[in-house]
Amino acid sequence: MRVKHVSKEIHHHKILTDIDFDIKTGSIVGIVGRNGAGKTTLLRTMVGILDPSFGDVLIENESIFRNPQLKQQIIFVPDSSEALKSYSTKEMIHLYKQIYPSLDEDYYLQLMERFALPEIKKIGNYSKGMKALFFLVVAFSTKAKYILLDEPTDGLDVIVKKQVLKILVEEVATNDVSVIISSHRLDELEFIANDIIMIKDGMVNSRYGLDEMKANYIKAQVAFESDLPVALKDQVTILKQTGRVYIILIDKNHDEIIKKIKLASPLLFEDLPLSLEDLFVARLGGDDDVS
Amino acid sequence: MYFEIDPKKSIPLYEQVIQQVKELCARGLLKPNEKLPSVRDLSSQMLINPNTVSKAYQELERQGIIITIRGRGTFISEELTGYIDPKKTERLQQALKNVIIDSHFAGISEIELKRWTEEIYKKLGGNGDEG
Amino acid sequence: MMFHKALWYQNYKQTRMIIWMTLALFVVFLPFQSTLALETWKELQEQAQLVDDSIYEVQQWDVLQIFSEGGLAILVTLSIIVLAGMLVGLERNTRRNDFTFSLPFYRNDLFLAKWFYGAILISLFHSVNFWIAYFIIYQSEFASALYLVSWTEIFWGPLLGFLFFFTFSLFIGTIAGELISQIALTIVFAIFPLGLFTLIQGLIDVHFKYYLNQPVWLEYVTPFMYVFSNTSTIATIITAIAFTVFFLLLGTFLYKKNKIEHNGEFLIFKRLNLPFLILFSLCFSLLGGMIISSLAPWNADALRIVSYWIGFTLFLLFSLLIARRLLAMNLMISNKA
Repeated sequence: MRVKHVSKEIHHHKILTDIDFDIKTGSIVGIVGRNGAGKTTLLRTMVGILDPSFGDVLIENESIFRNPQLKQQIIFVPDSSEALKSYSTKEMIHLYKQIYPSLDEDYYLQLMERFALPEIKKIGNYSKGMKALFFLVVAFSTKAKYILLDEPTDGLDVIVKKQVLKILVEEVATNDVSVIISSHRLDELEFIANDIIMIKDGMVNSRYGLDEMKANYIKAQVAFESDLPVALKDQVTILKQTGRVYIILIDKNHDEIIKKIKLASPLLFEDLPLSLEDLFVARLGGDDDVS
Repeated sequence: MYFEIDPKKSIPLYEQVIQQVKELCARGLLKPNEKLPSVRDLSSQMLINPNTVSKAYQELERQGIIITIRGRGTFISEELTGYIDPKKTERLQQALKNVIIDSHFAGISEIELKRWTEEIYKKLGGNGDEG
Repeated sequence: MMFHKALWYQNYKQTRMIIWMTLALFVVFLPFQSTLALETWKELQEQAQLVDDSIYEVQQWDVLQIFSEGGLAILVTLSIIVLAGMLVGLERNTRRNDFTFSLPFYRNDLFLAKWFYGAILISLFHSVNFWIAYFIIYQSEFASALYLVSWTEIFWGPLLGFLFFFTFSLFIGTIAGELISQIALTIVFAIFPLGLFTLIQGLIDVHFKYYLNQPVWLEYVTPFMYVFSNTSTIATIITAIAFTVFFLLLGTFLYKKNKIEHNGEFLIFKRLNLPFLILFSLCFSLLGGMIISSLAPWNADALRIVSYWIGFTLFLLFSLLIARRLLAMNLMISNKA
């Protein structure tokens, strides 16, 4: 699946600007950004709900807008189940069976049993956690190759959240599916996604593979006799500062910067564990700048 | 068997998996020929990306610590030798040393001790090569 | 693909209630009304005999009243508008439109599936009930009354009228951003040509004391007349079919072009905002002029003209305020679940 130079304008605002990436099968891709960065708009465009102002979305090198039947390979699970809340579980599976001929009903029943989900007359009556699990069960039962999830764990309790993440991991391990997750929660995605696409102001800000992320950055705690040397200020990202102690993120060509720090004879220079969250703050905005 | 990732460590996740397998082997919690959880089960248990687990398994296999038999699963290598806990070796050495000293005072000869050793190995069933 | 089971199922699921209501109205409209009419005719017949020993004769108008006009036909029309609203407009208010558009179907097929679904049910309901009503009269002593009317008048005219109206409502649905605006705009545009003419007539009348004659074609281009007027002729049938085809094609085209990020707003196509604003304010102002001037004494010419423009200005201000609100609104239900 390829998102090809997609831009989207709504009410003359650029929501997405030249988004371009591809998704390999068998991977979990996290689309990460702050609220209002355009994650949902991107997902909605990727399944053809919204028309891109420019660009295209391709599956097997064909546009899903010109040939929507390709979308049998995609299923979108929005963050709200509003649309189908009046359906019973049986009706839902009946409906999806018509839409996705590859739907595996036995597998559906298996998953339902495994997550102890009862068949129900109105999906709207499920608890929030059950709804989330149910839509995942349905999505994975369709055997679609690309599963797009908008904030799948938003507002779920820890136990359901774990179940949700479990099913994602297992599906990707067992079947050749790709899961594309949008989220503003990084701690969850950090170990699950093998690819993180960071979106800021509707643009791809950066893209990381799971392992290269930690290799490309160093988080450190430094302190100098006086202030942080001006020469360094532009080369590192300051995550936090308390008194003379700085928590900084050192980007890419760090050997050179580390040398510079050591030359400035710091009082303190220590490595700190790096999390995705640090990158999030560094790349997508500081502590105080809430938009 | 319990694997856990430490989000605080700065080393890549797959290396953490490798280290943990090695550690479990060393502590004798994973024995040669023992079956490891599948990629699916381990990733689901640890809640990490399956590719991370496969990558770790591939690396472990390259290092000869595990072998994958197609259709059957992943196993700790039979010839696993290099990953015995040095502390445990030391403890065993010390214990043996004590036995030898005690035997010496009890008037048991070296030849007799060696014979005992061989007999015990025979009783245990031909695993004498393992060390 | 437009007969795809999933779409049929989905459409039924979201219109179940209104479908049954429409059926009930059709039953009341035709079989029930014809039964009542028979009773009335019997009564009148007896009275006629008793009172002045004459014979009561059923008139053409009496038969037409059952099959093609009156309050019940308007109720059926209203339920058809609501049906179209449930198929298109309501999807926009809820997240159903997201679901529908994410499906592996062409948008053309989505729209045509909605049309076929509604059109087939309306035809079915109408035909079945028509035949029951027809049979009820046919087996009664008033069977001869059926010779007073033509098939065009009692069957094809109403049926094609309903189908045209349904198509028209769906078409408005492709322009309107949500349910209420779809229903409101359907009703407004259904009477628009005649309505606007009446307003212009009023304007000319106040200023020049000249009564503008209504051109014949005006009724042909007023959708409402197809379900209200009983004067179905071959000409109205041909125009009904032509308009149905035209609005079906136009609707399909526009549905494909829908940018559904504007769902929940008054209009889907932002380019229509300005024309709508102008048209809406103009009509509203003309209406205001007409209403206020009618309060002035009929023969006080100057006063009428002055009050006309007072009304016009007042309503213009109102309409601008209302239109601004309308065009800025967003009625999307976005509750998270």
